Amino acid sequence: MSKHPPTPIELIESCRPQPMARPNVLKTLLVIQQTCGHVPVAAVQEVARVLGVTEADVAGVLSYYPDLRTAPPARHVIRVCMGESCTANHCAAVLRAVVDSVGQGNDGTASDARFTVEKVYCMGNCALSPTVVVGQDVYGRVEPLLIPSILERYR
Amino acid sequence: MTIARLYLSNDTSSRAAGADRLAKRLGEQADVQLVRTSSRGAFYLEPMIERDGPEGRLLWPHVTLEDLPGIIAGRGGRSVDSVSYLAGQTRLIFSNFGITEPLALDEYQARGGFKGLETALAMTPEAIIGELKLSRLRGRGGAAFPVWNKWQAAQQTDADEKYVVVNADEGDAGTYCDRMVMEGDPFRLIEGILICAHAIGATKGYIYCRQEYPAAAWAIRTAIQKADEAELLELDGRTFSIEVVTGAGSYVCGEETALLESLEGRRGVVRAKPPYPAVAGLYQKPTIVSNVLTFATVPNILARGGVWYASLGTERSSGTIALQIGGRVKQPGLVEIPFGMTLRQVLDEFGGGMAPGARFKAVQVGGPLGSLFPESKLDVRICYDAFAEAGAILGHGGIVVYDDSTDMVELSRHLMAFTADESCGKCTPCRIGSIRGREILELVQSGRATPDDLSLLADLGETMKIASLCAFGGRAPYPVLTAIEHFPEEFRRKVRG
Amino acid sequence: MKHKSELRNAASSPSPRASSPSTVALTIDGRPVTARPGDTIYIAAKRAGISIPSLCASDHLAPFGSCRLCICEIEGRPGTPASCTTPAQEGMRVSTGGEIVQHHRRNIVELFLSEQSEQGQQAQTLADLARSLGLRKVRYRDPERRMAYEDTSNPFFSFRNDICVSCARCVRACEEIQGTNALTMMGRAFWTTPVAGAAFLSGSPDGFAASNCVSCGACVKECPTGALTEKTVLEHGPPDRFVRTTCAYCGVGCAFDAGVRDGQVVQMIPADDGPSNLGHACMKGRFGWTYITAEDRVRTPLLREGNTWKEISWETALDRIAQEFSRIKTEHGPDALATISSSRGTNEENYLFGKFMRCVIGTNHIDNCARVCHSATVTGMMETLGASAATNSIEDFDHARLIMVVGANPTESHPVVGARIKQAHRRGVPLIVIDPRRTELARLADLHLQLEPGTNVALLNGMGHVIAKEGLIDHVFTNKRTDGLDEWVKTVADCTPEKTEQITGVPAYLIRDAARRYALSGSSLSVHGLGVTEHRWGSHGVIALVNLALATGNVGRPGTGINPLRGQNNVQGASDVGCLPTYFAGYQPLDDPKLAALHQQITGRPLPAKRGMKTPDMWDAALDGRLKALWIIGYDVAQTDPNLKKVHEALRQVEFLVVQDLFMSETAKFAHLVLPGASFLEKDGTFTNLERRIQRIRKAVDPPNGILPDWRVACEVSTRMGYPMRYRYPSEIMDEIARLTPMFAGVSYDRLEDHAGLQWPVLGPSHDGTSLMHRETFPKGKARFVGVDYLPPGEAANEDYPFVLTTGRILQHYNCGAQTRRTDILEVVDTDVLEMHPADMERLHLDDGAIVRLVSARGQALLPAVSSPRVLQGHVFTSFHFPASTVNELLSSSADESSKCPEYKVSAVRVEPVEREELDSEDEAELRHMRRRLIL
Ligand SMILES: Nc1nc2c(c(=O)[nH]1)N[C@H]1C(S)=C(S)[C@@H](COP(=O)(O)OP(=O)(O)OC[C@H]3O[C@@H](n4cnc5c(=O)[nH]c(N)nc54)[C@H](O)[C@@H]3O)O[C@H]1N2
Ligand SMILES: Nc1nc2c(c(=O)[nH]1)N[C@H]1C(S)=C(S)[C@@H](COP(=O)(O)OP(=O)(O)OC[C@H]3O[C@@H](n4cnc5c(=O)[nH]c(N)nc54)[C@H](O)[C@@H]3O)O[C@H]1N2
Ligand SMILES: Cc1cc2nc3c(=O)[nH]c(=O)nc-3n(C[C@H](O)[C@H](O)[C@H](O)COP(=O)(O)O)c2cc1C
Ligand code: SF4
Ligand code: SF4
Ligand code: SF4
Ligand code: SF4
Ligand code: SF4
Ligand code: FES
Ligand code: FES
Ligand SMILES: [Mo]
Repeated sequence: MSKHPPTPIELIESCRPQPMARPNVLKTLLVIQQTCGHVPVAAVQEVARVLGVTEADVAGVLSYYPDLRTAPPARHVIRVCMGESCTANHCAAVLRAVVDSVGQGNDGTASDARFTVEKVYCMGNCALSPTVVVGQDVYGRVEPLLIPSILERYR
Repeated sequence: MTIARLYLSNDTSSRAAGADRLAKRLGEQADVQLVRTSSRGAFYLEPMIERDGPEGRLLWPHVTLEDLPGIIAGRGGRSVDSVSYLAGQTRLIFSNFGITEPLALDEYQARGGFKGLETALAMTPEAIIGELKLSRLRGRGGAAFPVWNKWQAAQQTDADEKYVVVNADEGDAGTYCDRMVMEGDPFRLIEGILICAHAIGATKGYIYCRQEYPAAAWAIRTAIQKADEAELLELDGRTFSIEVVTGAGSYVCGEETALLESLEGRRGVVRAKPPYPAVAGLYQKPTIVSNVLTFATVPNILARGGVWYASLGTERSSGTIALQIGGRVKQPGLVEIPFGMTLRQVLDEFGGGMAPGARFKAVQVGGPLGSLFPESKLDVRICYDAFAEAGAILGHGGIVVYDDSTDMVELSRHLMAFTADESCGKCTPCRIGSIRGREILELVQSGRATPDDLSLLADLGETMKIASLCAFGGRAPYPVLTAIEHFPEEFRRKVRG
Repeated sequence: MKHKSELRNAASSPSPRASSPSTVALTIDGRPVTARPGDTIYIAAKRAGISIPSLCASDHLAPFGSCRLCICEIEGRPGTPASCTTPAQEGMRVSTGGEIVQHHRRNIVELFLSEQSEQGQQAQTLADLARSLGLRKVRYRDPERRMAYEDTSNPFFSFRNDICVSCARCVRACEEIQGTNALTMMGRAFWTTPVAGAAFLSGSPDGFAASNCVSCGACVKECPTGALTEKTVLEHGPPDRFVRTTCAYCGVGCAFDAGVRDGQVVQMIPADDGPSNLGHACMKGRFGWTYITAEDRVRTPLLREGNTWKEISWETALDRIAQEFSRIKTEHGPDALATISSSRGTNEENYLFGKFMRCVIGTNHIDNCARVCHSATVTGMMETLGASAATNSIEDFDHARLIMVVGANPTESHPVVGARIKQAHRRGVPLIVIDPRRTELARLADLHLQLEPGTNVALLNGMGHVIAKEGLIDHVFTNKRTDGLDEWVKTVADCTPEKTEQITGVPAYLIRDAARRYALSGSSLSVHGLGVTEHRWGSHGVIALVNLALATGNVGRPGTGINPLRGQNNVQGASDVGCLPTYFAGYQPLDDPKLAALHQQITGRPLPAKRGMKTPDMWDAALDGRLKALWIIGYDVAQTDPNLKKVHEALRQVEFLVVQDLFMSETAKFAHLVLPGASFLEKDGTFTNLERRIQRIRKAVDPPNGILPDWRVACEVSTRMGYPMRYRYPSEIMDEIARLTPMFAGVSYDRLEDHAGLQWPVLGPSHDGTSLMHRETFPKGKARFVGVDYLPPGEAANEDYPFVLTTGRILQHYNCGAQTRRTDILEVVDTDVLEMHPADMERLHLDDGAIVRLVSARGQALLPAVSSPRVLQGHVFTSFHFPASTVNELLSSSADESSKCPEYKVSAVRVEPVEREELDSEDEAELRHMRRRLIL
């Protein structure tokens, strides 16, 4: 990263379709989220203008995909897998342990602003179920008892 | 001093098992040359380290930091070939796994890589499609549609643009072989894409990779770059560009038409067919959408011939299938075998029975939409027809074993809740039906349900099966209905009157 | 009825009208059925009169398949496919009502009902389905239901979520029919529901107001449940009867069914079998009709007494008019009287006013507002093609391989045609737009040639140069069917793209690209508007355009042609039936002896041979006292003619001015006697639309206290002046027109009962009319190339007046605004605004909405300035729909030489900031709360 991170507007501009090229709303929103951590509702109008689509077009996409968020997440996103292999390996207990050691609310942003806890369906780590992912770090064969020590690394 | 050359998998799951901690320590050792390979898929042994022995590789399973000095010194270790879990498999797609460095192009080529493409480039599109016809290869994404058929449709439809789209959304819980291919042998996938592109005359390729697989996306992107630098993407006089696109967490975007909508940047909602993607797909142009494994299988078929491939497996399910065994088994991991074994054999010979202290209750094959099998039904043969007869699907080869502590009502509710969350919301039976199904199961759970509610659930299930627009709503009732069928008392116990 | 699937075929098949429709034979419910290729099973069944239960399918929308009610069984196929998405195939055996299918339909309706709100508030459609399927009760126990909220932010209709079924027909209508994409489905899974715009992201239910919705009403019409419903219907209840009629705003001529309840119009539904609109409409026609019940409508004749008005009886009024006209005729002769007839009125009315002037007064001093509109088209096309009207029809948009829009803004001025063009563009038909402004179509276009106002001739000649130079001339066509090619080739010889760029400001490469595409598409269709005609050299612009079409063989075939987008509902007809000083009905020369004889025989009076005065000549005549009496019907010259100071002065000079209008228009304020008018919903007659289609209008309600329709007024005055006109019904007037006019020979009310109407020429009772003109020959045998050189506009920007002002229309209001300003459209737009380039706004330190004074050599106007991406730097644009803005004071009397079509499109002006306190309270009030909406 040499120069300053681009502003949302610069980002959207960078996605401006060439004449006759096809605008891609989802791609644009993902680029914004990657840099800003979320897609500010205010950005919708700009995206529409630059891509030459309507606000409804953008809002429809934004409201469809679970990964796109309009509010900034906490510093660390904890994803607890609820997929079948993890279910079979009692991920319910793991989720409980995570919620307990993080705070209330087991979905969306938890009261403890340091962590956002989310349920996901499978991270492709099923052979090591149950799975917990903190940020980009994947943990397998997770025991509920291990949770505090894992989260400790992110405090 | 002698330098010990050690092999350690760099696969996401291997790292989740602790491979990175070992790598860090080994990196500090002057007397060690560490090679990060793909994984053999025997995850129950990981983290595991290998080194070359007198005849073939030696391996050390469940390695801890304490074990490292011994391994470096060369003490102990058992021959890889002696592991029946691996010896019992027929590896075509996964033949390089655990052996090569994923991004080492020379290694891939040294082991026969790009032979299939070479052959294909010397053939006419018709001949290539003919070869696939001989191979009787069926799509590995779930629908098991004959591959040659799609390719022919796309090849014969003329258009200014045509596309090859790799479905790497791998949404089924319990499956990870697509991820392994992209992380562990990306050039094989690229080779498959190029062969398809040449056969149908495609102008651009896309890999739609689910957001949950950052390592896979990185690996395949890097591999594309390397292949480009090596001018391997040169196709019929121009460079064939392949773009890796990441999804945004919608399960239904694995369905081919929803995937195409998503690829166009729109809401990932299912399209009615016809027209089929092979005729009018991405931007309404002819498009081949196929699974990672399907493309990864093609190079071998071109290199060794369709007849050879068809000689593996069964009459109507030719070749090999990649199974991913998970849940409460002793030996979870990847298994590539010819079609035809029974489910029981697979669970015993590869799964190695149940995890310590666990007793078998049921197994679900084919992901969240797959049917449940009780102990009594395990002798079903693993091939498309037998499963179809059993009202089940092989899907993407995911096998999840549940132990006797599993509450079948809760499991059913969980699966219906999944459907209710992930429905794309387009068609009525699924959009409303899935949430009604969940509500009924919650009634059952809370002990407020009557037998009428159960028959309503069954009736609703039939409507979802028969009337849904896509297989998501169409398959969703199966796990629940099979749970009720095979474990009726668990439901009856909770129902009043 | 036109189905989406067919539209596709039409677009793809080489020569559509030639293509022989092969058929598909299948069996549905044991009945043999013949379908058209591309039909779905659902449509095939519908054609055969078999109706399959459905909610999400629509004849106007592409197959979707979401409700799943239409599932069926096909012999030899697994499962139960949706009949609305499954193509009908040869030999299919389909069953649509089997036990299984019915059972699951019942379950689906049960699911729908389970999500609707409890307290009986359920969509009627679902209740009906439930009954017909024998569904008794919903078995689900306290299910989660749809959220109950409403979006009432649109002035004309509202949305309630609790009875919606999320079929997305509204969303698809907005995209596929109207091409505005103001709607989307929001969220996913059970909670998926339609919303307008993006307001919901901020938790606001008022999506429509904040969105780019243009209130075309397509979504409301498609909605199967009433979740989207007109406010008039919610207020007064649904209609109990319908009357088929034709919209009285623009020249598209959309067919409507006027819904009446208790003697009151409560709904206007665009008719699916309307030939020019196929079920679509725009804001004005669909919702902008409520002016007919406006408080301040003129209800009785009014006589001026000093500065006040005295209500008088119809008898007195008609006598008075007859007396005054007779007196002036005897004192000053026939040439002292003139009439300007209304292009808003019916053909029958216009014919009668022409007949009145010719037979009773004995002069040709009659004109209509075509003068200020497409008169330049009339002269230009007459000179080259020998006929002045659109060569092709609206359906040709489905056959064109390229569409070129020159100086027209259809998505605002002819919205249903605009939508049709957007549909074609979505199907991949290339679009070229020639316009100084970045209109909606310009934004979407493949090529936008953004020329300097007034330089059409230069640009079109430049394109001609490329066509001639690069050997793109269709010599087969020019040899066989045209004269004068060489003259034209000489004219364009030195109009190189580079030189053209100098004059027009359009990059040379764009000129080349456009020329090549237009010449090579196979069938290029041109539509043009006032951006071509309302110029100092307007008719030359039209001629230059026709030359291009002739040179490339783009005339006389489907999907080609020169198509003026005629403006008012009956401006085509008013001219057709002879409200012109230069022609009799059917553009027959006044000095034709055969016509004179026929005229004498049928009317009993001679046909005056001497040409009469055009409207601008009338002003001059009035000013130097030659014109004493003037009768103006439905035309607000005091607001909409150019150089208003002069027009006002002229009106003051007239000794006896009669104005006949629905409202006390600006012109009426000058009148000595004002007569009320009956609106189109209150009378019978015919309009002729921009594709020469004669269509009926039918009386839906009575006019307020016995107002006489204009045609009756003509009869009464004429009778009182000793020339009895005793028509019992407008059909008798049409019969007379038919006898006098070859091109109407086959027109009669009996034949017009057919909803398709008749497109002239209709040469006889058995002649079907003409959808495509000039197929084999032109009226004059061959068409004529006419070389025209570029000449600069009448006025150019200079240091005193540095801005170039262009005036024109906006979607929401209509011409003088008398009608649209008396509807809820005011909630969307309630003022004219001055559109200015952001950079100019900044340079002049103007913030958005600042009131500015526009000054020209003629006069001035007060307007709010708004920053607009639609105009070039150094240019400003405004509409003329509000009297308060007195825009037309700014304009000169400069006009096209031959046609006298005014130069509305180019004036030099200065922009001065205005302090609020400078404003007198009245203007202040007019300009205070500014509601506006630019169509981008
Ligand atoms: N909503 C609405 N619809 C209407 C009307 C209305 O008042 N409101 N009026 C009706 C009537 S009477 C008529 S005649 C039609 C008129 O319909 P249009 O012909 O569309 O009328 P305008 O908007 O006046 O002008 C069209 C375009 O000409 C462009 N133009 C200006 N100067 C030039 C030039 O030098 N060259 C070129 N190529 N283009 C130029 C303007 O930028 C404008 O976009 O609309 C009819 N329909
Ligand atoms: N600056 C500028 N000025 C322009 C133009 C421009 O582009 N720029 N365009 C010019 C053009 S193209 C045109 S066509 C004119 C149009 O200008 P006008 O013809 O003056 O305006 P309209 O609103 O069409 O209708 C005039 C009157 O007809 C009345 N009316 C409607 N129906 C009936 C009826 O059935 N009977 C009677 N008796 N009266 C009826 C209405 O109440 C209204 O007062 O404006 C011209 N003025
Ligand atoms: C709900 C749903 C989810 C699906 N998810 C996937 C997926 O994740 N990966 C995949 O390859 N195919 C998936 N499919 C199947 C695809 O629709 C399509 O059949 C397949 O990609 C074709 O590839 P193939 O020719 O290799 O079988 C899914 C289908 C449905 C109905
Ligand atoms: S079945 Fe479910 S996922 Fe498939 S189209 Fe219908 S709503 Fe969407
Ligand atoms: S009224 Fe027309 S523009 Fe507005 S939302 Fe409905 S369809 Fe779209
Ligand atoms: S508003 Fe009407 S058309 Fe739109 S989704 Fe709801 S029911 Fe369908
Ligand atoms: S397009 Fe013209 S004719 Fe049609 S509804 Fe609108 S104003 Fe009336
Ligand atoms: S559009 Fe109508 S009013 Fe304008 S010139 Fe043509 S006919 Fe006359
Ligand atoms: S099921 Fe949890 S990682 Fe796959
Ligand atoms: S009408 Fe066919 S699915 Fe709705
Ligand atoms: Mo007009």
